[in-house]
Amino acid sequence: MFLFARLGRLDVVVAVLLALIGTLMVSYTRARAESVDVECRVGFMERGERMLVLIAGRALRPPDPRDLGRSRVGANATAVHRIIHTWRATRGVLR
Amino acid sequence: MTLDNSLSDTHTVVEVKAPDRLGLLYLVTRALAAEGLDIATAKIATDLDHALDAFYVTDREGQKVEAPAALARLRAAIEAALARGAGVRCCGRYKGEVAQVADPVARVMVGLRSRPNQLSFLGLVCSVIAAALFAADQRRAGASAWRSRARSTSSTAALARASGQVSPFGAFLDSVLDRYSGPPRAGGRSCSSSRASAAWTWWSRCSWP
Repeated sequence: MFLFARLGRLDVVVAVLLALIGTLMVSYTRARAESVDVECRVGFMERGERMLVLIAGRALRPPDPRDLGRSRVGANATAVHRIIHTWRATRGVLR
Repeated sequence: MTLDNSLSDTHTVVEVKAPDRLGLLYLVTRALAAEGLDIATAKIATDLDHALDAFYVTDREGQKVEAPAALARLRAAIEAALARGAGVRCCGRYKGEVAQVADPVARVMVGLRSRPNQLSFLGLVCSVIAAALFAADQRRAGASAWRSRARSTSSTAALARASGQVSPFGAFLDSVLDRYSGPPRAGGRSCSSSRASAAWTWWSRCSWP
Protein backbone atom coordinates (compact mmCIF):
# COMPACT_ATOMS: atom_id res chain seq x y z
CA MET A 1 0.00 0.00 0.00
CA PHE A 2 2.85 2.35 0.90
CA LEU A 3 4.57 1.36 -2.36
CA PHE A 4 1.55 2.18 -4.50
CA ALA A 5 0.93 5.37 -2.50
CA ARG A 6 4.50 6.41 -3.33
CA LEU A 7 3.91 5.56 -7.00
CA GLY A 8 0.83 7.77 -6.96
CA ARG A 9 -1.53 4.85 -7.71
CA LEU A 10 -4.41 5.92 -5.50
CA ASP A 11 -6.70 3.52 -7.37
CA VAL A 12 -4.61 0.52 -6.28
CA VAL A 13 -4.37 1.84 -2.69
CA VAL A 14 -8.17 2.06 -2.55
CA ALA A 15 -8.49 -1.42 -4.14
CA VAL A 16 -6.12 -2.94 -1.57
CA LEU A 17 -7.97 -1.22 1.26
CA LEU A 18 -11.36 -2.43 0.04
CA ALA A 19 -10.02 -5.97 -0.35
CA LEU A 20 -8.57 -5.76 3.17
CA ILE A 21 -11.81 -4.47 4.66
CA GLY A 22 -13.89 -7.02 2.72
CA THR A 23 -11.87 -10.04 3.83
CA LEU A 24 -11.96 -8.90 7.46
CA MET A 25 -15.65 -8.12 7.42
CA VAL A 26 -16.80 -11.42 5.90
CA SER A 27 -15.81 -13.30 9.04
CA TYR A 28 -16.49 -10.42 11.45
CA THR A 29 -20.10 -9.89 10.34
CA ARG A 30 -20.84 -13.59 10.78
CA ALA A 31 -19.22 -13.78 14.22
CA ARG A 32 -20.94 -10.58 15.38
CA ALA A 33 -24.31 -11.73 14.02
CA GLU A 34 -23.97 -14.99 15.93
CA SER A 35 -23.38 -13.00 19.11
CA VAL A 36 -26.90 -11.54 18.68
CA ASP A 37 -28.29 -15.06 18.03
CA VAL A 38 -28.55 -14.82 14.25
CA GLU A 39 -27.33 -17.74 12.17
CA CYS A 40 -25.38 -16.00 9.40
CA ARG A 41 -24.22 -18.53 6.81
CA VAL A 42 -25.23 -16.44 3.81
CA GLY A 43 -22.95 -15.03 1.10
CA PHE A 44 -20.79 -16.74 -1.48
CA MET A 45 -17.33 -15.27 -1.09
CA GLU A 46 -15.74 -16.90 1.93
CA ARG A 47 -12.01 -17.55 2.29
CA GLY A 48 -11.95 -20.59 -0.03
CA GLU A 49 -13.75 -18.84 -2.86
CA ARG A 50 -11.49 -15.78 -2.56
CA MET A 51 -8.41 -17.98 -2.71
CA LEU A 52 -9.85 -19.73 -5.75
CA VAL A 53 -10.31 -16.42 -7.59
CA LEU A 54 -6.73 -15.36 -6.85
CA ILE A 55 -5.19 -18.79 -7.65
CA ALA A 56 -7.22 -19.27 -10.83
CA GLY A 57 -6.31 -15.77 -12.00
CA ARG A 58 -2.63 -16.39 -11.25
CA ALA A 59 -2.64 -19.75 -13.02
CA LEU A 60 -4.15 -18.37 -16.19
CA ARG A 61 -1.95 -15.31 -16.66
CA PRO A 62 0.63 -13.06 -14.96
CA PRO A 63 -0.47 -11.32 -11.70
CA ASP A 64 -3.36 -9.04 -12.45
CA PRO A 65 -4.78 -6.42 -10.05
CA ARG A 66 -8.21 -7.15 -11.52
CA ASP A 67 -8.27 -10.47 -9.63
CA LEU A 68 -7.89 -8.47 -6.45
CA GLY A 69 -10.77 -6.34 -7.70
CA ARG A 70 -13.01 -9.38 -8.19
CA SER A 71 -12.12 -10.75 -4.80
CA ARG A 72 -12.75 -7.30 -3.28
CA VAL A 73 -16.19 -6.89 -4.85
CA GLY A 74 -17.21 -10.42 -3.86
CA ALA A 75 -16.00 -10.14 -0.27
CA ASN A 76 -17.68 -6.78 0.33
CA ALA A 77 -20.87 -8.01 -1.30
CA THR A 78 -20.86 -10.96 1.10
CA ALA A 79 -20.29 -8.66 4.10
CA VAL A 80 -23.14 -6.35 3.01
CA HIS A 81 -25.35 -9.41 2.36
CA ARG A 82 -24.70 -10.54 5.93
CA ILE A 83 -25.52 -7.10 7.35
CA ILE A 84 -28.84 -7.11 5.45
CA HIS A 85 -29.52 -10.70 6.54
CA THR A 86 -28.95 -9.75 10.21
CA TRP A 87 -31.16 -6.68 9.83
CA ARG A 88 -33.98 -8.81 8.42
CA ALA A 89 -33.56 -11.45 11.12
CA THR A 90 -33.68 -8.90 13.96
CA ARG A 91 -36.15 -6.43 12.46
CA GLY A 92 -38.45 -5.00 15.11
CA VAL A 93 -36.58 -6.64 18.00
CA LEU A 94 -35.94 -4.28 20.91
CA ARG A 95 -34.41 -5.07 24.27
CA MET B 1 -22.92 -19.42 33.82
CA THR B 2 -24.05 -22.68 32.18
CA LEU B 3 -22.37 -26.01 31.43
CA ASP B 4 -23.95 -27.86 28.54
CA ASN B 5 -23.20 -31.32 27.20
CA SER B 6 -26.12 -31.42 24.75
CA LEU B 7 -25.04 -28.64 22.38
CA SER B 8 -22.04 -30.50 20.98
CA ASP B 9 -21.36 -34.20 20.37
CA THR B 10 -17.67 -33.84 21.12
CA HIS B 11 -17.26 -30.89 23.51
CA THR B 12 -18.65 -29.55 26.74
CA VAL B 13 -19.89 -25.99 26.24
CA VAL B 14 -19.13 -23.54 29.03
CA GLU B 15 -21.15 -20.37 28.61
CA VAL B 16 -20.32 -17.34 30.72
CA LYS B 17 -22.39 -14.15 30.90
CA ALA B 18 -21.06 -11.53 33.27
CA PRO B 19 -20.54 -7.77 33.59
CA ASP B 20 -17.38 -7.06 31.61
CA ARG B 21 -14.30 -6.01 33.47
CA LEU B 22 -10.57 -5.92 33.12
CA GLY B 23 -9.02 -9.42 33.15
CA LEU B 24 -12.30 -11.36 33.08
CA LEU B 25 -11.28 -13.51 30.11
CA TYR B 26 -7.93 -14.23 31.72
CA LEU B 27 -9.54 -15.35 34.97
CA VAL B 28 -12.04 -17.65 33.26
CA THR B 29 -9.52 -19.26 30.90
CA ARG B 30 -7.06 -19.70 33.76
CA ALA B 31 -9.77 -21.49 35.73
CA LEU B 32 -10.42 -23.79 32.74
CA ALA B 33 -6.69 -24.53 32.41
CA ALA B 34 -6.39 -25.20 36.15
CA GLU B 35 -9.16 -27.79 35.80
CA GLY B 36 -7.06 -29.53 33.14
CA LEU B 37 -9.32 -28.63 30.22
CA ASP B 38 -8.39 -27.88 26.63
CA ILE B 39 -10.26 -25.09 24.85
CA ALA B 40 -11.02 -26.13 21.27
CA THR B 41 -13.10 -23.09 20.32
CA ALA B 42 -13.92 -19.87 22.11
CA LYS B 43 -16.54 -17.34 21.11
CA ILE B 44 -15.80 -14.08 22.84
CA ALA B 45 -18.26 -11.23 22.61
CA THR B 46 -19.11 -8.04 24.43
CA ASP B 47 -22.60 -6.60 24.36
CA LEU B 48 -22.55 -3.04 25.72
CA ASP B 49 -20.95 -3.66 29.14
CA HIS B 50 -21.63 -7.41 29.36
CA ALA B 51 -19.25 -10.19 28.36
CA LEU B 52 -20.87 -13.15 26.57
CA ASP B 53 -18.30 -15.92 26.19
CA ALA B 54 -18.68 -19.56 25.14
CA PHE B 55 -15.90 -22.13 25.43
CA TYR B 56 -15.95 -25.56 23.79
CA VAL B 57 -13.77 -27.67 26.06
CA THR B 58 -12.56 -31.24 26.50
CA ASP B 59 -10.45 -32.89 29.14
CA ARG B 60 -6.84 -33.95 28.56
CA GLU B 61 -8.05 -37.20 26.92
CA GLY B 62 -10.14 -35.23 24.46
CA GLN B 63 -13.42 -36.31 26.10
CA LYS B 64 -16.39 -34.27 27.25
CA VAL B 65 -16.62 -33.45 30.95
CA GLU B 66 -19.52 -35.64 32.04
CA ALA B 67 -18.75 -36.86 35.54
CA PRO B 68 -21.03 -35.01 38.00
CA ALA B 69 -18.11 -34.41 40.39
CA ALA B 70 -15.94 -32.90 37.62
CA LEU B 71 -18.83 -30.71 36.45
CA ALA B 72 -19.41 -29.47 40.01
CA ARG B 73 -15.70 -28.74 40.43
CA LEU B 74 -15.62 -26.86 37.11
CA ARG B 75 -18.68 -24.82 38.04
CA ALA B 76 -17.15 -23.90 41.41
CA ALA B 77 -13.83 -22.92 39.80
CA ILE B 78 -15.49 -20.62 37.26
CA GLU B 79 -17.80 -19.08 39.85
CA ALA B 80 -14.75 -18.39 42.00
CA ALA B 81 -13.02 -16.80 38.99
CA LEU B 82 -16.08 -14.61 38.28
CA ALA B 83 -16.20 -13.50 41.89
CA ARG B 84 -12.55 -12.49 41.93
CA GLY B 85 -11.96 -8.77 41.45
CA ALA B 86 -15.64 -8.21 40.76
CA GLY B 87 -15.28 -4.61 41.91
CA VAL B 88 -13.01 -3.71 38.99
CA ARG B 89 -15.09 -2.73 35.98
CA CYS B 90 -13.62 -2.47 32.51
CA CYS B 91 -13.20 1.17 31.45
CA GLY B 92 -14.97 2.20 34.66
CA ARG B 93 -12.34 4.81 35.38
CA TYR B 94 -13.18 6.62 32.11
CA LYS B 95 -16.94 6.31 32.45
CA GLY B 96 -17.37 9.86 33.80
CA GLU B 97 -15.28 11.41 31.01
CA VAL B 98 -17.12 9.46 28.32
CA ALA B 99 -20.50 10.41 29.78
CA GLN B 100 -19.50 14.10 29.84
CA VAL B 101 -19.12 13.99 26.06
CA ALA B 102 -21.71 11.38 25.18
CA ASP B 103 -24.72 12.45 27.26
CA PRO B 104 -25.09 16.07 25.99
CA VAL B 105 -24.72 14.88 22.38
CA ALA B 106 -27.29 12.14 23.06
CA ARG B 107 -29.75 14.66 24.54
CA VAL B 108 -29.43 16.90 21.48
CA MET B 109 -29.85 13.90 19.18
CA VAL B 110 -32.98 12.76 21.06
CA GLY B 111 -34.35 16.29 20.55
CA LEU B 112 -33.63 16.02 16.84
CA ARG B 113 -35.42 12.64 16.73
CA SER B 114 -32.27 10.94 15.53
CA ARG B 115 -31.85 7.21 15.60
CA PRO B 116 -28.76 5.47 17.01
CA ASN B 117 -28.11 3.73 13.69
CA GLN B 118 -27.90 7.13 11.97
CA LEU B 119 -25.25 8.13 14.49
CA SER B 120 -23.31 4.95 13.71
CA PHE B 121 -23.36 5.86 10.00
CA LEU B 122 -22.31 9.41 10.86
CA GLY B 123 -19.23 7.94 12.57
CA LEU B 124 -18.35 6.06 9.37
CA VAL B 125 -18.79 9.20 7.25
CA CYS B 126 -16.51 11.15 9.64
CA SER B 127 -13.83 8.47 9.39
CA VAL B 128 -13.92 8.56 5.56
CA ILE B 129 -13.62 12.35 5.67
CA ALA B 130 -10.71 11.98 8.12
CA ALA B 131 -9.06 9.51 5.72
CA ALA B 132 -9.38 11.93 2.80
CA LEU B 133 -7.95 14.79 4.90
CA PHE B 134 -5.02 12.65 6.10
CA ALA B 135 -4.33 11.63 2.50
CA ALA B 136 -4.26 15.31 1.54
CA ASP B 137 -1.75 15.99 4.37
CA GLN B 138 -4.36 18.03 6.29
CA ARG B 139 -3.42 16.47 9.61
CA ARG B 140 -5.15 18.89 11.96
CA ALA B 141 -8.40 18.81 10.03
CA GLY B 142 -8.11 15.01 9.75
CA ALA B 143 -7.63 14.72 13.51
CA SER B 144 -10.70 16.93 14.07
CA ALA B 145 -12.78 14.71 11.79
CA TRP B 146 -11.49 11.66 13.63
CA ARG B 147 -12.45 13.21 16.98
CA SER B 148 -15.95 13.89 15.61
CA ARG B 149 -16.15 10.24 14.70
CA ALA B 150 -15.11 9.28 18.24
CA ARG B 151 -17.78 11.60 19.69
CA SER B 152 -20.55 10.19 17.53
CA THR B 153 -19.44 6.62 18.29
CA SER B 154 -19.34 7.20 22.04
CA SER B 155 -22.78 8.83 21.91
CA THR B 156 -24.49 6.02 20.00
CA ALA B 157 -25.06 3.79 23.02
CA ALA B 158 -26.08 6.80 25.14
CA LEU B 159 -28.63 7.84 22.49
CA ALA B 160 -29.97 4.27 22.23
CA ARG B 161 -30.50 4.14 25.99
CA ALA B 162 -31.92 7.68 26.27
CA SER B 163 -34.44 7.08 23.47
CA GLY B 164 -35.32 3.48 24.40
CA GLN B 165 -34.02 2.18 21.07
CA VAL B 166 -31.52 -0.41 22.29
CA SER B 167 -31.72 -3.30 19.83
CA PRO B 168 -29.61 -6.34 18.86
CA PHE B 169 -29.24 -5.01 15.31
CA GLY B 170 -28.11 -1.62 16.65
CA ALA B 171 -25.36 -3.28 18.67
CA PHE B 172 -24.38 -5.37 15.62
CA LEU B 173 -24.38 -2.40 13.22
CA ASP B 174 -22.42 -0.17 15.59
CA SER B 175 -19.65 -2.78 15.94
CA VAL B 176 -19.57 -3.53 12.21
CA LEU B 177 -19.39 0.12 11.15
CA ASP B 178 -16.72 0.68 13.78
CA ARG B 179 -14.59 -2.00 12.06
CA TYR B 180 -15.28 -0.31 8.69
CA SER B 181 -14.02 2.99 10.13
CA GLY B 182 -10.47 1.87 10.91
CA PRO B 183 -8.96 0.88 7.54
CA PRO B 184 -9.90 4.10 5.65
CA ARG B 185 -7.92 6.10 8.20
CA ALA B 186 -4.94 3.74 7.85
CA GLY B 187 -5.15 4.12 4.06
CA GLY B 188 -5.40 7.90 4.28
CA ARG B 189 -2.37 8.05 6.52
CA SER B 190 -0.35 5.78 4.24
CA CYS B 191 -1.19 8.10 1.32
CA SER B 192 -0.02 11.22 3.12
CA SER B 193 3.16 12.22 1.37
CA SER B 194 5.35 12.31 4.47
CA ARG B 195 4.39 8.79 5.57
CA ALA B 196 4.68 7.37 2.07
CA SER B 197 8.12 8.93 1.78
CA ALA B 198 9.23 7.52 5.13
CA ALA B 199 7.98 4.04 4.16
CA TRP B 200 9.67 4.32 0.77
CA THR B 201 12.97 5.29 2.39
CA TRP B 202 12.73 2.31 4.75
CA TRP B 203 11.78 -0.03 1.87
CA SER B 204 14.60 1.09 -0.40
CA ARG B 205 17.20 0.82 2.39
CA CYS B 206 16.29 -2.77 3.15
CA SER B 207 18.61 -5.27 1.48
CA TRP B 208 16.28 -7.73 -0.20
CA PRO B 209 17.59 -11.15 -1.29
